[in-house]
Amino acid sequence: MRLQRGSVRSEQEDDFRDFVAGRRLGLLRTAALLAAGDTHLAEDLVQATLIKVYANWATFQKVGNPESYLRRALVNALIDERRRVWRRREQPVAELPDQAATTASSPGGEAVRRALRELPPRMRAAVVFRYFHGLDVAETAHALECSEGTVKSQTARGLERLRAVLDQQQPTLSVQPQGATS
Amino acid sequence: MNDLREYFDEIADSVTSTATTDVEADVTRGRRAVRQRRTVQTVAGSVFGIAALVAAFTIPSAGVGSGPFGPTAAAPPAISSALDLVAYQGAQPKGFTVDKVPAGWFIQADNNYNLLLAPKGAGSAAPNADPNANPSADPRLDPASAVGKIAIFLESKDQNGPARDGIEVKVGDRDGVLLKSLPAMIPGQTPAPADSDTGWEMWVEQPSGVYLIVQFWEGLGLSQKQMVELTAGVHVEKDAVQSVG
Repeated sequence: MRLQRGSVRSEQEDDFRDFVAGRRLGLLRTAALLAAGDTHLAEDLVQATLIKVYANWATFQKVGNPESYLRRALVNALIDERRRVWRRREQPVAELPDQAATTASSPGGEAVRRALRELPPRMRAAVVFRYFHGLDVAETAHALECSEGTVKSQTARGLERLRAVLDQQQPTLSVQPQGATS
Repeated sequence: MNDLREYFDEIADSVTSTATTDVEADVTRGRRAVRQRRTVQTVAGSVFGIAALVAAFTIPSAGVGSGPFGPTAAAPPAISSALDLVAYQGAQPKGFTVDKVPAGWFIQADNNYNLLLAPKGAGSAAPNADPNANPSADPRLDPASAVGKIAIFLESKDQNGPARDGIEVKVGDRDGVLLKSLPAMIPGQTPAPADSDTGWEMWVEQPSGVYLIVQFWEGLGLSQKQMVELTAGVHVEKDAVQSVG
């Protein structure tokens, strides 16, 4: 009996390994945007998400929309992380620092990164899901567990704030989104 | 490169240089989380029984804590002998003032954003503190660290009240919510079991609608009554400022 149970677990872990090998980088790319370019935080979010997936592997395999499950888990991890006040021995500051712990990027990329950091987590997620992943309003609402109206308002406000920051940084930059459908 | 999508791609691509492919590390973290959950369930089942489990434990409504780590103990100790609260006699800080502090504690750091209470012996302002001590060697000596201390601050500008259900308490004439802190997930460190003392956060809504947060680090040994009493003596002054992020 023990051998049989061990065998099942081994098979499940092999499936999980395949899943991680195939999906980790994609999750990390999404997490990088949710973390506004903070690569360390992005790694934390992915680790937290994968822990959740591992611990609920049987359930995860049965969910109808695993992509939505993963996006929701990443957002929950982000919100949870930001509410874990003082956990990282951080000193609250009035304004966000100019430079994140990130690799070098173009001036425009840096401006977008800074603008993203100033968006609340859910608003940032709505913008990322709509204009990076190209999700429609309904898919984004499902991932964020909110109404479609909330997605529309959050996205509009997020884009408005991105536009304002970008206009301030570089008036020539455009924030015309591509690929998003309503 | 002049549209948002391209900038998003650039940010997303920035992680590829640091991306880890250590699949086994994810498996190990997953095993550890499952093991912790089973331990919590086993201990809870054998000691308290189902009725006590329902009364003493809550399941967070969202976030990492509701998944791999299972139920988290939600009841602080009813009686504590670790610390006594005494009237604060020193100079009052800037953004927040306090009526009571744990006996033998002092204000280690204060500004318009936060106030930090620490036990004597910690930090440069502490009596008998070693002026040559290295703050990085002991978080208690670091006035920017809340480890082992009580931190008082307003919720961040992007927060909007407590994210989870907690214990509803009366703090003076205001309503408060006492939340058990979720286990910290620090890269390279094993998260503490959710059923252990992971610390507490008292959230109290102010007339402005902004929440005051008093964070009690794990292991302080304060009872719920003491946490309420200390929080009731915290006053948000006009110069108190919310942080960002």
